[in-house]
Amino acid sequence: MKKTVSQLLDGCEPHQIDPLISDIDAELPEGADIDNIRSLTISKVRISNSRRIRRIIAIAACAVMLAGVLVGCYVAEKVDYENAVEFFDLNDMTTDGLSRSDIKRVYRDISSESFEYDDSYKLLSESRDTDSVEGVDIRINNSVNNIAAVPDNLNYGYSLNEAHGDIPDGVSYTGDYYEGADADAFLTKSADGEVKWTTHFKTMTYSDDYYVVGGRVLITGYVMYDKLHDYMHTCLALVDDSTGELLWEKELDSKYHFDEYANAVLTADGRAAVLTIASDDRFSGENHLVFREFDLTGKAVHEHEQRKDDMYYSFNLTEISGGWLAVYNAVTESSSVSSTLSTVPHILVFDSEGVISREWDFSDFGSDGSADPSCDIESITEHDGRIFVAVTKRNSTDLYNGMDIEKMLPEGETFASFSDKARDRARECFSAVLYVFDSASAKPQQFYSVDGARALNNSLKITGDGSLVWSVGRIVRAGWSPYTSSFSLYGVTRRYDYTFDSDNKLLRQDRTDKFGSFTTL
Amino acid sequence: MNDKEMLELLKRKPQRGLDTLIGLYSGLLYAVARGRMDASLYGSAQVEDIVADSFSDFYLSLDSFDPDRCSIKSFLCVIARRKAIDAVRSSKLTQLPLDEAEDTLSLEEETEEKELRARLIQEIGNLGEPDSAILIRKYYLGQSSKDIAAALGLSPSNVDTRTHRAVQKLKKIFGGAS
Repeated sequence: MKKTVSQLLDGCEPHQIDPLISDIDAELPEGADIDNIRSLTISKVRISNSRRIRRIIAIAACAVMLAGVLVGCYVAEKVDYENAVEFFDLNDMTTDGLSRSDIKRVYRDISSESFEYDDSYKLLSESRDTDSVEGVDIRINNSVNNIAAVPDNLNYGYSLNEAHGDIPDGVSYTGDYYEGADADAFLTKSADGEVKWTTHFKTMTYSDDYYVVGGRVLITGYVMYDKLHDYMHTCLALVDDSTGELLWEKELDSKYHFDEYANAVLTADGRAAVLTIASDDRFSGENHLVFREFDLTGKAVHEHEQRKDDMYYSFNLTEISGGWLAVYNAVTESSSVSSTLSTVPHILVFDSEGVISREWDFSDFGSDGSADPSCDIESITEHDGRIFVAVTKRNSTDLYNGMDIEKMLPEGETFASFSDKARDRARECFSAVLYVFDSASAKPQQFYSVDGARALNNSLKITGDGSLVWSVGRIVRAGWSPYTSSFSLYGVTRRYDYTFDSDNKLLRQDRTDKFGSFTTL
Repeated sequence: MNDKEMLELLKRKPQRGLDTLIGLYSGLLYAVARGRMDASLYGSAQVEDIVADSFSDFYLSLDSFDPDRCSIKSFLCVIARRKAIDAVRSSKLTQLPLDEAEDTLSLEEETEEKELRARLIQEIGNLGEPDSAILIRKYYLGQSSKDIAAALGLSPSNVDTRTHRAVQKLKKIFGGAS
């Protein structure tokens, strides 16, 4: 059977065609959409990773069950009791006046949702009183979308280095994460297009985020060792913002193979605090949260490690009176049939030495009854005895399930990028929410919600007169990308600023002329 | 950025790595997939889907990728090519001729084909530039003579002439097999 040249080339192995295509490149043709390719790719990777995490969870669950069978009755009773006490603690339920067997009975009654035991209802009612928190839905005043005003050249991609702090207009910092085989990372400061300084780091292989505060720049990054990722440690460096002088540089020399950067903060007096997640195997589920604080000279003044196995990401750390505050998203399994996982924000309060003194989540805070709402933390701050947490909340619709999105379309409609319908459906998927907690008691006080918008990164600012300004991005243009089993949303947001007084009262809503991009990853 | 640096970036910062990878190779993979997906039957969205599938498959199999054995570029091209072929085969839109649909090879034929393929690749390389690039663009990327001409700085008629001569040369070498 004769084969054509083209058919013969179909079966080529990669190494065979290497020499033939090494110098060949091709541009995307007109009409092809690189944003669509990017969105599809990220979503496919995300779904596969989610499935992998679900497998890990399933394996872990099996292991726990197996261990449970092997443990004797005595141990089982002890574990049962300890679980019950932990359950009471987690739900702010008191054990006062209850015997050991009562506690276990209430725990089993509630966790099995049987509710046959009288004390269960009473205890639940008392504990839930704290969650009766008022919420305010903020309506966008200006309903004009003004799509034409959206800059045509807005990039839908991802920023490379994330900036934190107050950076004047015209000033930019460029951190390159690689420069040849042997060179280290470097950071360049430019003002009005002119390079002011470039600082090369001694240890850091890649620079990452940077924080500009009080005339100094804190740069976070990594050093990686050998053979692609056997070891990876976080690096920190402090640079004088006016001269570019490298004040100090640290590799966080962990006893673990991986010590991955979670978040950092630079204070006005030059102290740096950093959270890392340390493990020997990134997929083992055994993680350690490490808090470190360095003084102005780079000397470590506090270091504390605690085991925390949550599947967490998107940390945000800030200094509060008497310690530090961190918020992170923890991945939890969704109850929906799809493969997607939900994320639930958790708050950690550290004392001044970096030891966790309190922690809680707010999965059911401000619940609107939707199943498995997912929240992604964008910003936190503490002010005047209150903790403010800005999150983007996704509604119950599973954005990664094509069927769910498909159901949202009117019959006969096809998917199209940047249509009004796409924008309206995208708006149904998101709410920007601001949660307010009491700093001392950790009790929720209030929440504000703006539908059809997303909270923006680093969007909480305290003004000179003590008012709080919360920035959200309203979705003004959106498209989505269909493919075999999943969808991605992407588009443009317009920034709205909300100002609150010291009593959490909304003073005003400002529609700005600033636009940003968003994509569902 | 070389392949090892790219792999490190993909491991360290997956989103950035994928973003860079997509920026570098989307056009090439699109061409490779399009070369097997008839434009009259398959829209741009379907080709984009194949390209995205190729990137995600590559990322998810990073641990098994050996940069000393082949380049990321060729690895991605092969994934895209095979995915495009699979998509066409499984599509109801495809109207394969009967003999092609039942195209199965015996072990002996398969061995022969492998040898033939290896020799073909070698001979295409031996044609020298720009003829080898023209043939690869024509038969692997499925590019038109006009596109090839634009990419290589030649006239379309020159591309056609060179293609014809190169194929004749290969036919002579293979005794009509190609």
